[in-house]
Amino acid sequence: MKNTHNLKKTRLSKMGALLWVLLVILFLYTVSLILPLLWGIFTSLKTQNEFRVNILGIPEGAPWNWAWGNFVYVMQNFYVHITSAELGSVDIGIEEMLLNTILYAVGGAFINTLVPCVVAYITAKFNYKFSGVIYMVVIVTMVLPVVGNTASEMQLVKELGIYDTIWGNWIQKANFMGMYYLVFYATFKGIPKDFSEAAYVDGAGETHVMIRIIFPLVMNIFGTVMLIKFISFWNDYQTPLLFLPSYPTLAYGIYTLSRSSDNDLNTVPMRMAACVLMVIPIVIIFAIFKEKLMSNISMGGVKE
Amino acid sequence: MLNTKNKSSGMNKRNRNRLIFYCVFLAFPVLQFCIFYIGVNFNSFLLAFKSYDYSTGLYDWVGFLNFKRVFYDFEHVQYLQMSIRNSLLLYLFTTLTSFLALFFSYYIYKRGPGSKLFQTMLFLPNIISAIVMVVIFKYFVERAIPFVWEEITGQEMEGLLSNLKTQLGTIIFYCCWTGFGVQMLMYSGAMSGISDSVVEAAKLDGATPVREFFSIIFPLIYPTVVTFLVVEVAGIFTNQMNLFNFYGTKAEYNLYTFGYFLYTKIKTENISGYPYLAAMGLVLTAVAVPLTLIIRKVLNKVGPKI
Repeated sequence: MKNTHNLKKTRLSKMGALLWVLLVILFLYTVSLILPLLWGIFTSLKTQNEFRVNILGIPEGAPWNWAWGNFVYVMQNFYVHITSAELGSVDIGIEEMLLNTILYAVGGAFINTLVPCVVAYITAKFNYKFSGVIYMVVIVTMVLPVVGNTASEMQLVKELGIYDTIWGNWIQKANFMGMYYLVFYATFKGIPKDFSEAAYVDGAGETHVMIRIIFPLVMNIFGTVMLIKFISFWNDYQTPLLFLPSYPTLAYGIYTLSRSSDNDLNTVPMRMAACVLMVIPIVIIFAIFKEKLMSNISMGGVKE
Repeated sequence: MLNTKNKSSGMNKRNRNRLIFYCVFLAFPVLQFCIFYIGVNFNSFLLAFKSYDYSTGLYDWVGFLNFKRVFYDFEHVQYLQMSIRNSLLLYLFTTLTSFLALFFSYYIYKRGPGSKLFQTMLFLPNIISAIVMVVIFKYFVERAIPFVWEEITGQEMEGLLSNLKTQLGTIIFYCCWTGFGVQMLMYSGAMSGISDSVVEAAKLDGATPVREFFSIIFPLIYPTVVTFLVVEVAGIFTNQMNLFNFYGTKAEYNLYTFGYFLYTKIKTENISGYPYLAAMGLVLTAVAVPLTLIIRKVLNKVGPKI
């Protein structure tokens, strides 16, 4: 599955009208995206008094005199107030929100990647009729949109006793459906039987072959898929809001902060500071793995 | 003979082990699927025909009562009528975004100047949390843009989200503005799979970039385009238009979409409200499934032939 695209770079002098128009639009788009983000960063470095008189400009004074204390203040005072039957009425601080985010995003991403990977391996390598059934189920559930079943899911998780628990949410995420099952399936199908046959001859069992021989061959793809899922879960707050109300994540906290009006953080610079803090880890991860993320995804497959 | 017997018993043992392995490792995922997909959807179907009885704390069968309420509400409740309009409007604009993403992908595929930077910028909104993007965008259009306008024209200006005339347009713009990333990656991924010799041959024949795009690139990646257009049909019934990010549960009725309506209702209603929502979901699914299949078929039929 190597990328066959090997076209030369198009030079400015050889661009036709279409590419020129696209260049201009893309340039304007980039500016339109950078401007609000820069504005947000600069605003996070102003005091509320300064923001009132200087809405648009960069903070006044030398950079070391900017309101860096906003970040410290947010870290010390950013909390989410929750009320639950189990915990009563408590405030969850930023450290606990970070821990919840890690449990939710890392745990969820790992399980949500591992299950499709295992099911894809088994259905790709074992020619039982049931494997075909599972493959068809994945295709059908991807094609047919089911709308509005969240109420039923909510009722079910409450009855199963897994509502508002992190491990319960991991179980909810332990499904094999979706595009990444097909990605893993295609990859396993493409691995020659020789690898596993050699191990069988040496007396290895099925579990050994799967974990020690085949899975290491797809670690690159596993990592990419898990990274995509991690970013998605890190940013997701609507699922925790519904299914994990007692375990606020950072994104959940930002949502609460953006709606709250009853504490010192209810100013534009403080809200921007909280947003910047929330984004920093994910931007660092993106910067490190950018090439892997941007070049490894394609429809119906992850390129190696 | 003994050797053959041993071989056959060895094969049987291996087959048995394979079957045990197969069953053990599939048991949990299949059970999970049965509970959280089949169970949830079947329960949703049953729930649509029930109503919660506070006196007994149980759900009772009520036949088609919830469906009657749903159809009545479609005719009389303003936010549901607005949901139809807004969801369709959003679909129209996200489809246009799809085509724009297609052109952007072409630029990246052609590796025009700055294409790496543009690729990163187009994907950036997918990396940054939607709630963070919305908070920044919201204050930017509410504070910074009116400030600039006043500085330039000397006239006062209402925030783009506060102004009833501009709020829907601003939110739709936001959805399109941040919606290029995944499509751009998929389209440019599909384009990179096109054989270079085809493109080079067209170039030797004197094809301009416009001709190359419409006669070679677009037809060859048409299946990917169809996939996105079909996925967007399902989005008519699930897309929240970022309303929850902008307004929490308090969006104006004239901004509602089906996706937002269903999410906020589940967030705010207690268990007595679930049957109505299940009935609504069933009605929408009954529309979404055939619509998706029809549009898929039509797009496959009318598409360019290679």
